[in-house]
Amino acid sequence: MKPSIETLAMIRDYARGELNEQEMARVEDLLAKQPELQEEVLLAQLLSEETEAMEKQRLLQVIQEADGEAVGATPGVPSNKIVPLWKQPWFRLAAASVLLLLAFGLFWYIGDTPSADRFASFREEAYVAPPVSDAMRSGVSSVDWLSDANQYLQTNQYEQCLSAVESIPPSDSLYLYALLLKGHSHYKMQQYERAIGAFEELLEQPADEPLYFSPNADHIRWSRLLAALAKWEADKTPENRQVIERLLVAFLEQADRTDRYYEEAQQLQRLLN
Amino acid sequence: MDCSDERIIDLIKTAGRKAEHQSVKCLLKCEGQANALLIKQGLHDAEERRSVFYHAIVAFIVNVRRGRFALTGKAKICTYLTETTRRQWLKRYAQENKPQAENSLPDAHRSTDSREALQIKLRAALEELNATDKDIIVAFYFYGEDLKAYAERRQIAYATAKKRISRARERLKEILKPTQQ
Repeated sequence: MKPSIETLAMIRDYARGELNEQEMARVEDLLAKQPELQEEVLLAQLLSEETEAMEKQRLLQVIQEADGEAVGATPGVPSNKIVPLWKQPWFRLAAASVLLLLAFGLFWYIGDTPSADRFASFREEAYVAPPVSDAMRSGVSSVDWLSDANQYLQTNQYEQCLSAVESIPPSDSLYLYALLLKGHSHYKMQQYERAIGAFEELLEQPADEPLYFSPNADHIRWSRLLAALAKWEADKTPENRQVIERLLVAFLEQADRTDRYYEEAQQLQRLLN
Repeated sequence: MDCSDERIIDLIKTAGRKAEHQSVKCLLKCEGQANALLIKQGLHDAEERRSVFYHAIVAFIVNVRRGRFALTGKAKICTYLTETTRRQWLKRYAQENKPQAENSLPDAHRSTDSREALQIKLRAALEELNATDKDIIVAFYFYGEDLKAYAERRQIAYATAKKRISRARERLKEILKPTQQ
């Protein structure tokens, strides 16, 4: 029988010596009853040690890179900077572009058209509601307006949502979140051109602008991509298709590879191919 | 760039490389303060100072992610990081000056040979995992993160997180199997 997540967490803490006497006794009792779990203790010990080494090394590289950007080459930590060709960002971008172009070329040559339903259901599953909870905890002046607007969006009252976000002035620290909700409202109202406009306005804001709380950039880019996809579904011109290709390539290049959006983008790429 | 203490903590806890990168850039701004203390402690080698400081940043990020650091409103992050740097240096200094007697016994580590072999295998197995599987294994086994918190931070369903860790563990166990027999 596979151990539950709770059991695994308890064994992990036991292996790391982080349990109190009572909890330790519980784990030891469990181990006596299920000796096969001893294997899990060893695995947890080894994983704790190995992931520590791996993660610390990764963090050192992140620091080194960030410091290198700020002050030039840094000699502090031994460097593992020789990056294979296939790991170079420009090479990946070029390879992705070539693959996409080949795939799209083949697609147009065969004259096949993927069913609209597939894309519509993909969009439905891949849609991510605007993550505004953090902003509502952080913002000051217009937090109530933003909260109302978000409430309207969640309850499909898009016109009211748009009115509420109009009340948030450009000088407000939550203005970018207002724009985000505006984009989502237009998207939900199937006004894709306007949705794309709002998302693009957001992306044009300088990164790390101290005046504003900024929504997650991958989220914005992903929402723009979904709006472009919807626009293409409604009007299947080669131009609209090219926009998706371009946005998708750019997205895969820029996105955080460990987040949900990246996974969804890869799925979209497969779907389009 | 906003490098307030609260913002740094938020960035460290936020999922994604961009936030991590920004948090590191903010923390690097504390280098001057840490350097001054290290020079006072007698560490005049600039390369070593930087290396010690880098390791202090790593220790700080790990502490924040493990929930072992809380902003009190009194101590500033740079002060805390400077103190961490000093401790890193003292630790390193103590290790470098530690007597090597036990290493002179050739059989001292024999009993741990099979464990080491397992460790090497596990290291290779971890390298083989894809980025998402590696990410969840590190979060669970190194940071000790609760799976529900992980799912929330990564904006994925709890069921997906469960499936992901189970898949990653199966892969690791599969690779480790022949050694364990």
